[in-house]
Amino acid sequence: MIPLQVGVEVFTAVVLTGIVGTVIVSTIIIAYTVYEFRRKEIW
Amino acid sequence: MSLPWINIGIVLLLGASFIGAGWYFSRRVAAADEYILGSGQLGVAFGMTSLLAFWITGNTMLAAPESAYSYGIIGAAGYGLTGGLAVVLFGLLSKRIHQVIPHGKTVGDYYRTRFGDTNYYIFFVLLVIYILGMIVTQGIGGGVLLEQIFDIPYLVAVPLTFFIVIVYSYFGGFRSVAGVAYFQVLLILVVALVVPPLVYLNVGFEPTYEGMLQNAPTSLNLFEPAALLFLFGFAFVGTGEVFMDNTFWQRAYAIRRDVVVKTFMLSGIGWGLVPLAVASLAFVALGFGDSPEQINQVAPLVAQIYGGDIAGWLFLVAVWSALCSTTAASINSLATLVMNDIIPDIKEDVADEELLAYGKYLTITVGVLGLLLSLPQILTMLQMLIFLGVINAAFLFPIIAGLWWEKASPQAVLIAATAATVVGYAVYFTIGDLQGVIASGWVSFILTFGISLLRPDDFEWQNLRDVGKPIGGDRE
Repeated sequence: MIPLQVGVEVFTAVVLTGIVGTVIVSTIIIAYTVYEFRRKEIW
Repeated sequence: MSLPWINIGIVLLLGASFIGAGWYFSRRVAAADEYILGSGQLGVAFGMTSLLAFWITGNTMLAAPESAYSYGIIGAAGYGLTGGLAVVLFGLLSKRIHQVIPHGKTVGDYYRTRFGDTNYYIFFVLLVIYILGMIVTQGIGGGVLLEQIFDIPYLVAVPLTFFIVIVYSYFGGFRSVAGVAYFQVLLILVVALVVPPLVYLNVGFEPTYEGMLQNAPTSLNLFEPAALLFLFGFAFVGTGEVFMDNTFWQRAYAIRRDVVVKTFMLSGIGWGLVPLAVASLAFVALGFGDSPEQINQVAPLVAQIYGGDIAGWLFLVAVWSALCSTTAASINSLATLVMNDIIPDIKEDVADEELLAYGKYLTITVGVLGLLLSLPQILTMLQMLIFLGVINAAFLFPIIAGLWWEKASPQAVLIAATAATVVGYAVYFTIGDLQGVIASGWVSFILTFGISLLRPDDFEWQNLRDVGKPIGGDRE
């Protein structure tokens, strides 16, 4: 018996956090690209 | 031996588009300062991608899965979180950097003015070793991976990669590197969005978990001693790397002052989360008993086995883009560091045009040196990051103390950085690698603050404010 072993729910949550986090980061980059491009502040 | 022409074709096609984009972005580079920092007006989007391009990419594709494979769930979460926290902390530092040395261009501008020539030359030598180490890590990691997973021979993959990176970095320096990085990061994010979900749809969460429980139960343990040591040790590696590396200082100056903190914060969040997605592929290998020949190949191996040909090719695109972006950022960082800090020392009154030409020659020199050093295969990516982490940890506290505390003295920094490096490597080779990094960090902390308290300096901040001049006029 190993102490404080994570269950399948925590395991799934960790993997999903990475995947959802990647979606959020990609969205932020695209949103800022459009916003700054329109305001001519991108470069 | 027959060559895998589809895979080589993908690399050549991408390489040609990187070179084309690099040339496009270089068209407005007319001055040496622009070769070092671009216009100094990067917004959040390009700022984020230029930050992610350097750190998230090569490391995400290879070292993050390696840490998950070696240290389990704590390795996966800890790798991203410690690195992400370091970038967030540097965001706070970047505000201070703009305040105290508003017209600097490299970490060298700060370190030399703050701590004097002796300290600077020690710092410079170790920084060069560190950056070359980073370049070589990318070269070796990528070459081995392209050979063993994608069948492109090592002696074809490495020179081809370096050739393409050198060409597009040569054209416009930072401007080309940051411009191309934007598209590279988007490509990598698409792959990070597609491949892990595809693999988990095929294998399922529960079977993976059950397999890990059976094959590698310690990988699911939150208090596994080796994983906790990794967590604490890597906090020093990540923070030290970010604070010392000229690549981050370059970006602190290249991003517009009004958005620099926000950009670093958002990039830090990205750093915390994106590696986790790719690292989770290593769990599949643990769960189903797949053993890569080298640990850092675990993610592409899993993508190829459980995602099919499409996932395999997508991963090739991501891995190769990742290696290019990190290698290009490191080559540009070292070339422009020498260009800005050393050339004016060797040649007085060097004209701007001449300095720009030196920058281009240095890009070629650093790139070729990186290529030659990459041909022998020494360490895996994570091992190299930890090995270099001893140096990073030694300079972490001098850099922080010098930015906020006028009493931080050059003598204290000289003793602290030297002693921390020596003690760190002594511990690294006798007790353990991560223990060496932690020892280096603590020695640096105690001696920097202890000696400065006993024999305080009284630094005049105006000396830093007088360094350099604005790029293309004032950008306050």
